Amino acid sequence: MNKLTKGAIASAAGIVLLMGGAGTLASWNASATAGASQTITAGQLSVVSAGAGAWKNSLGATVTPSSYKVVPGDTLTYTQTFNVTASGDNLYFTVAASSGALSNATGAANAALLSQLTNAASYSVTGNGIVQATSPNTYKVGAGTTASTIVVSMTIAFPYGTTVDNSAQLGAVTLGTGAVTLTQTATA
Amino acid sequence: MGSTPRLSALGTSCRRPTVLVLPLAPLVLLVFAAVSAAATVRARLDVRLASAADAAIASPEQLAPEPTRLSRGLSTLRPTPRRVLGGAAAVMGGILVAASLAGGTYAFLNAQATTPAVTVSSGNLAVTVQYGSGPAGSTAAIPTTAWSNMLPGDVVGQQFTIANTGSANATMSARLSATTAWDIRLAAGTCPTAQLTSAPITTAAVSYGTLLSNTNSVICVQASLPAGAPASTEASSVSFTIMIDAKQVAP
Repeated sequence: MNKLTKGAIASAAGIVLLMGGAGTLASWNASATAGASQTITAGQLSVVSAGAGAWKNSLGATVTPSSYKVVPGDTLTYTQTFNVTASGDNLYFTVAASSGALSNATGAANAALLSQLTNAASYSVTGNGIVQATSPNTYKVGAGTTASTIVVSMTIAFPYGTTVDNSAQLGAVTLGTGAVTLTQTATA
Repeated sequence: MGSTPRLSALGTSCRRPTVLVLPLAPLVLLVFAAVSAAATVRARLDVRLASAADAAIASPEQLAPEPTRLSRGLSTLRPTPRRVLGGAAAVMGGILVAASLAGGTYAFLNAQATTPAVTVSSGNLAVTVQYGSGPAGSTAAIPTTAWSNMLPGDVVGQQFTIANTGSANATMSARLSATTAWDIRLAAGTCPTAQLTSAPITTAAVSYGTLLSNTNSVICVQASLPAGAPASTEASSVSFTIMIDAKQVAP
């Protein structure tokens, strides 16, 4: 067998090997689309002040605390309205109103006044933008369209006692900032 | 004509392979099939040999091939229990680091708004007493000439001004600091010529009215020697002190 014959045999074998190795490895594949493209949108939870609040004394008269003098029996009430924006089909959140802390500068009268004052905070919800959920102080987004507001009331009470105590006269105390807090919860 | 043999020779050399290859194609396929079959047989033989070695329970030394440079290098990558544990620890550590770096990714909604701070001041309560056009203060002395040469049945009144200088409204009351044989009466307003109809004041405080903050009022204090006064009061003098109390009332 001459060189040409050997070369032909080798070439044929190579072609066969190449043909044998090309395209013989395969697997089946099939796909189908599930659903259509969707846009997912997140909800919102915010509370902002609707404006400055107002202080009133126990007689219902609007007062300016910086110039008002409280006496035993007085109750100062601060009222401020907050706008709530809440969206989310499964959004539940608690509402909490907290009063600021009472503190006094040095001085016997200031300390005596601080010891005789009490403070508290409460809130009320209006509108059907948010509605009461199952748990106490828990709300959810309502079906209504009326925007909801939260009215926060903070009171400072100077109780009228049964005995004489003039030590708190002309004292001064400071009430810190209060807050209304909306916190999302996992449960209804 | 010398070129013709070369041409014919070329033509021959070109034609012959073409003629040969075509009949050889089935032969090449047969050869390839035989080679692949031989490879299959050889593979089977290998398997059988390995099985035979296992069945013979040859010692590990006998079975272990002579360590080559490649096998020694591969032995460093061979999984041992320590390496497996070390690798797992490294993976767990990596997960922990990744989790800590991703901390706070999951959260919940929160919203807060604040109310302003404010200072609250307390008021006070203070009253002053003033006799006639004299100075106003916490005490007012009544001159001895105000009530002198009094006879039984005489009624003499003196005007005072009580001022509430505090920021709280007050209920006013009066009392004597000590009992006396004289008839001391007190009422709001200017003094009448006749005796006041209110009851004589005693050491027990009796309210005579209210006084709003930052206002004042005139009161009348009447002293009279009762008609039935004992003779021992003749040509005598007594002193008395009237206490004016202001009690804050709730707003």
